[in-house]
Amino acid sequence: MKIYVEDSFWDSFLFFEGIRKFFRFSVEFNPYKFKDPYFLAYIRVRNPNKREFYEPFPVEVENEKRGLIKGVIYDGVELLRYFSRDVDISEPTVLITNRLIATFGEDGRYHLRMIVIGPAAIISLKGILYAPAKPLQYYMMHSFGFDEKIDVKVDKVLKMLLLQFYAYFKHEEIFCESEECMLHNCHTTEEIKKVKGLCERHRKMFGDSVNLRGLS
Amino acid sequence: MAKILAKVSEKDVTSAIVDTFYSMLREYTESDVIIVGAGPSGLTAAKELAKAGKKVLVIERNNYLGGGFWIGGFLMNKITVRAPAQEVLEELGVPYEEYTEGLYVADGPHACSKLIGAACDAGVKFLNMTSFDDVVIRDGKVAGVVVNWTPVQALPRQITCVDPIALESKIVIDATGHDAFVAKKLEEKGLLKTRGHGSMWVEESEDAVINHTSEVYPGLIVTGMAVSTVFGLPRMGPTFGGMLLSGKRAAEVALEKLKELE
Repeated sequence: MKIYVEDSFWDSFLFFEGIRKFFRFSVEFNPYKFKDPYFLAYIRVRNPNKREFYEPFPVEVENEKRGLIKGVIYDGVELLRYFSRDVDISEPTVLITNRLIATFGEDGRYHLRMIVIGPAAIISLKGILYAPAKPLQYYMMHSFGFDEKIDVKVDKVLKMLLLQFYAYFKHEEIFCESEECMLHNCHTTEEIKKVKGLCERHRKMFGDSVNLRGLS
Repeated sequence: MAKILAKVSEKDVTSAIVDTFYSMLREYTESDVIIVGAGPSGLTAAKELAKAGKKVLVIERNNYLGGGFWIGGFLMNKITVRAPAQEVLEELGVPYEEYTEGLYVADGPHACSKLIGAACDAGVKFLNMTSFDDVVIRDGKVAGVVVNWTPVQALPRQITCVDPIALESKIVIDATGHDAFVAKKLEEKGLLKTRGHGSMWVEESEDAVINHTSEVYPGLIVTGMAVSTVFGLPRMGPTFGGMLLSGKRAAEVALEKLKELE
């Protein structure tokens, strides 16, 4: 598996060793840099209810060049399309980014995503924190302006997402109904906590590919 | 019994109001910068620009200045800012306390009145109860605003055929909050396309507002929540640091632009 980590946080990325130990096959890490700041500014999500792209303002392109992208959300499908064209995707290939990504759903709204899967995949580390729904307490505290801690084990979710893409790439296997299985499509932080490992069926399929020790 | 207050006639009081107001209005028919909106970002930008020696006029549709800076969330009059925006409170002389690491709380009335006071002390002039009506465009550039008394809008049209007046400036700053009235007026004219602010919540939306505070059309700078509307940034919660720092950034951008015009 090839894993690209966006170069802006390559030096601070904490999960190289954990991911290497998790997969029993070889994982190659490389830094990745998006080369087109105009395109990144163009594919920003502007309105949660509309999938519309606009000619960017000069400051948006300039901010992309300078990495001033806090609070910016990107259309995950377009970002993945760009990435998939830019790298060799003949083997499972994933980009781990710190950008927020969202996809436009059938309900006519954008939703923040932890991962967008296609011929390759993009995983958003910030998405792991922000995308899953939190317990009510979190939103109540936020509504009063308090920074409530997000209770998510990022390393665990990262491994889950990487395995989900691997399962899709190798076997076109999409998600598992078992709430305890790593391939379960979790939408809330509480669902993530319930994941313990692999269900029996998926243990048979992927038991040789991953090392589940210490997953919690 | 001795009189406490000096003796003046009614007409003297009226003359004092009329003379001084109209001499101010006359002087400010042309400014370096007109800021539309006297909320925290507009006031901060105004104060910084006036401190830098610029002639600044702020237009505010309400009688009171300060916008939403008087109260925090849920009508509670405590305002919160995140680091490093407490430095702005420090500059203003507003007492505050650290509630949790990086989160500071101050009394809304104290913070807001100090900010208004600082803007006035710096030399900013205000036209309150004055609503933005339109932009002045000259040579493809925003060159001022058209304004009218706020009550004119509230009365039936048939009894209020009151024409507005135009005020000129080298730069206009839109600090009208989510409404982004000035930017929207340019959109009506087909000169700009605003994106509309998002409803998705992310903690970093305050940073995004500061980073995107900029000139969006020649002569027009956006600041505060108007930035969210123009750029389609996510909504923010009831913290004000982003507004204060966006106001500072707007002033920096305006000073750069004014320098280019010299």
